[in-house]
Amino acid sequence: MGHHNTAPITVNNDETIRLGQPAQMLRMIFLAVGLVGVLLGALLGMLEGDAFARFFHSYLISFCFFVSLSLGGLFFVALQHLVRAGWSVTVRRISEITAAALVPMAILFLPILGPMLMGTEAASSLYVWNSAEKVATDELVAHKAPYLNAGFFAIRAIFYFLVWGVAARFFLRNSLAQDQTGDAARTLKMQELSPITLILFALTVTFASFDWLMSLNPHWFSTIFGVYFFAGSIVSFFAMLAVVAVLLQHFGKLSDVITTDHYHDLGKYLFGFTMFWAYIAFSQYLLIWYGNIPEETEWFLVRQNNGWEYIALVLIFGHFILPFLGLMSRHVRRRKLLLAAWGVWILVMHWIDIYWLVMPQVSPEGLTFGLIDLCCLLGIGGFYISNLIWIAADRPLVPVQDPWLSESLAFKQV
Amino acid sequence: MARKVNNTNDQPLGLLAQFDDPHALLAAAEKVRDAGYTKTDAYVPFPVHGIDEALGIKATILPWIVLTLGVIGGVGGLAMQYWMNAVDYPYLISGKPLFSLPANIPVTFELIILLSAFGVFLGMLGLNKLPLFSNPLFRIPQFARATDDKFFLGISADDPKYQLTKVRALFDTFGPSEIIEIPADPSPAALPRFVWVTGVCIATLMLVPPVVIWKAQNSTSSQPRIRLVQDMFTQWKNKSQTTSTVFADGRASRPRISGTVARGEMLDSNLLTGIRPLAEAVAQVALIAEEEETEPADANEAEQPAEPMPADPMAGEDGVQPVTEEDEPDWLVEVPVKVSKSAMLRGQQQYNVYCAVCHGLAGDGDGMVSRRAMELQQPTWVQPTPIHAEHVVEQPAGKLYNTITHGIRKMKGYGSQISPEDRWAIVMYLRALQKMRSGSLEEVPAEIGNTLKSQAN
Repeated sequence: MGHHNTAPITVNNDETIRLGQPAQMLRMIFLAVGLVGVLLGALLGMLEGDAFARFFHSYLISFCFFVSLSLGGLFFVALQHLVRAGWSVTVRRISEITAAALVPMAILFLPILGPMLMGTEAASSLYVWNSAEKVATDELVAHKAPYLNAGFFAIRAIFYFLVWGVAARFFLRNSLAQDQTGDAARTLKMQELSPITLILFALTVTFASFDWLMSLNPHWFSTIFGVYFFAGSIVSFFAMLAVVAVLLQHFGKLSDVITTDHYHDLGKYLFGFTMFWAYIAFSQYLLIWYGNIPEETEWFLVRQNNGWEYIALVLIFGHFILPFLGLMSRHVRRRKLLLAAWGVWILVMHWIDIYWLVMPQVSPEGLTFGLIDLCCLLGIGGFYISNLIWIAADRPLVPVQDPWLSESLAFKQV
Repeated sequence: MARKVNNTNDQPLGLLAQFDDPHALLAAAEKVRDAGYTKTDAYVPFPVHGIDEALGIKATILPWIVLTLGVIGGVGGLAMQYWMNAVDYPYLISGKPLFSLPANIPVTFELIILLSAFGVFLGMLGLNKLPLFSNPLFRIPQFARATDDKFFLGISADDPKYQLTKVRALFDTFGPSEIIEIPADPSPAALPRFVWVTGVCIATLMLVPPVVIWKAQNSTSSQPRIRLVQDMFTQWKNKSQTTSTVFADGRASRPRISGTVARGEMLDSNLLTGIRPLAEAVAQVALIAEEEETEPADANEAEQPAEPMPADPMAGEDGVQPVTEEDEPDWLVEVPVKVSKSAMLRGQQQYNVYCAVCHGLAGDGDGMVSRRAMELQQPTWVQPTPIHAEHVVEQPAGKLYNTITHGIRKMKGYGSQISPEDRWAIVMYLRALQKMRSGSLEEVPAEIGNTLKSQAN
């Protein structure tokens, strides 16, 4: 692309591409916030006196929110290797670190899994199908019991995290090893394994969303639900990537590495996947609306009454129409602060999206938002960010020896 | 490079500088821009980053064209569907509102995409003044390497600041590998005459179909309408209730052939007629004839006026064998099929479909049709006899069945519409309705009776 006969551009492998010591201090603060948040949330949940039902739903919302960010990161990394993309090398390490955060996120799934397996009072607070009484009285749930039971649910969850963890670690490990040697064979190896990663990714994300979110109402089913969850994941991952990049540059990191043209491309992704999310969400809605069969409409019925319809409207406008119009212009996408602002907006909307998926299940009688939700968000968020910093440690935030780094650094929008 | 309309003078159309690498081109382009030239262009084998800024090319307005067309597509798509579904041809589909947004989103979405795509494609062609069949630059032999390894910068003679010597001097300062004059186009710029003639002919011919359509839409004709696909509309078959030239009686719908029984219809004759097997000989004849329309001659014979026997409800009117009081057949007294809850419900359902409109849901003869006829004081209307009337209650089941099959007085026969099993089910339900008024508590099982008692209290 017009850069023949020019010397390869490189990045100075110094402190400007590393988080540095102050970030490690921040890590402890975030960890403390996480601990306090989750414990306070659990305490508030205990006071509700509903066998932790409210707490678990709140917890699940924020858990799925942060897991989805990392899933978006894993998808992005695998996709870049699959299509042999050159432009994205400068933002790929951040994505790899984001994806690798899936490993510690597995631990945060234990509070959900534990009570279900131990059969305590709270076993069916979150998933109503995990109750012998429900299975005995509900024919549909009984019919689905061979799939929806605590044991198989746990096995599947372990499998999902195993696949994600192995894949994310694989990409991060090879990329880090390449930092030392500059061995191009590692890139080829990652390209080779990216298709199988994406196939496994598609299957695991689909079934994870079925297990964790769709089975909250064990009667309801929607085959497109996995794609819906994926669409939200990927769009909010790009939002997060833009925000993280701007934050890093604000603190003097990666200043000359991530350029306006990279932001422009992230903006295009953000714009495109905003549309994609709406397309999928509407596809799910249209068929159910048209068919008008009670077994399918019951799910929307709960989410379109008692105030939940306002959240649905917030999503239509906030998750689609406003960012669609706002991100349409290239002038917005090329201004990193504006882009980051839309990034924050999309992240908020994505959280509301998952909130709308989960919370009507436990509170169909009306909107509810309280300190407990905030505690869970800050709690899991604190853990998540401290994990990101922990994984990033003192490692370069750019793959300094990637064969395509030069092309990425010189990347210009045509 | 703009083409001159008239190339009578052979002044060069501009000046071209050839460079060996893109960096020299970019540097030269910046200087040309700074010198104030505007009618400039660069020709390169691959996209060169920054050439737009170096030449001072303004951002394209294409996105605005696309946005405008996209908005037109969206608004137009919604408006079109509103007009079609809610105004011009309102048609209720599965109880949704006539103008219902979710249903209209897919078409609106596709129209946004379609018009945007048109905007991108045609807008790009238009802004680039394409298609252009010839360009004066193509006559410069060196220019062929613009697609290979050379980089050209050109200034058009149309530029207000253009002066051959000055431009040449400016180009010289860049150290290009060559400076080339763009030669004037010697060929006439006007289109050849035959192109015009052909164009006018085609345009004229293209007017014919719309004119013919316009004329056809605004005039009347005694000719049958033109059907493009003849076989679809006129098929070699007879539709029901029409005439036929094949059969002597002229009817397209054929009556059942005498002495035949359709599959699955072979039932006991007493089940079919409601008459005891003693009268077997008679019933055998009736079995064939009563089910459906018989030969027209018999039917006419059977059509006896209803008026002569108005008030006598006992007088049965049998389509084939009018039964009079004197030769009353040996009716089955009880319903000959097994009484079950499902049969009873079936009877209720069939009664509510076929009978209740006149007889009323409870059999009091006050159905909607009857009430309306009375309200209009129709002189020919005979109100249905309430099924709770004593003489009806006393009628044997076979006779009730016979009445449903062949009709009575003003009531038409339902034998052709209701299957024998369903007719018996209706009789069963009629009996239940009658019991509703005449039954005693002792006839009800003790358990239900107690419930009823407690409810009554």
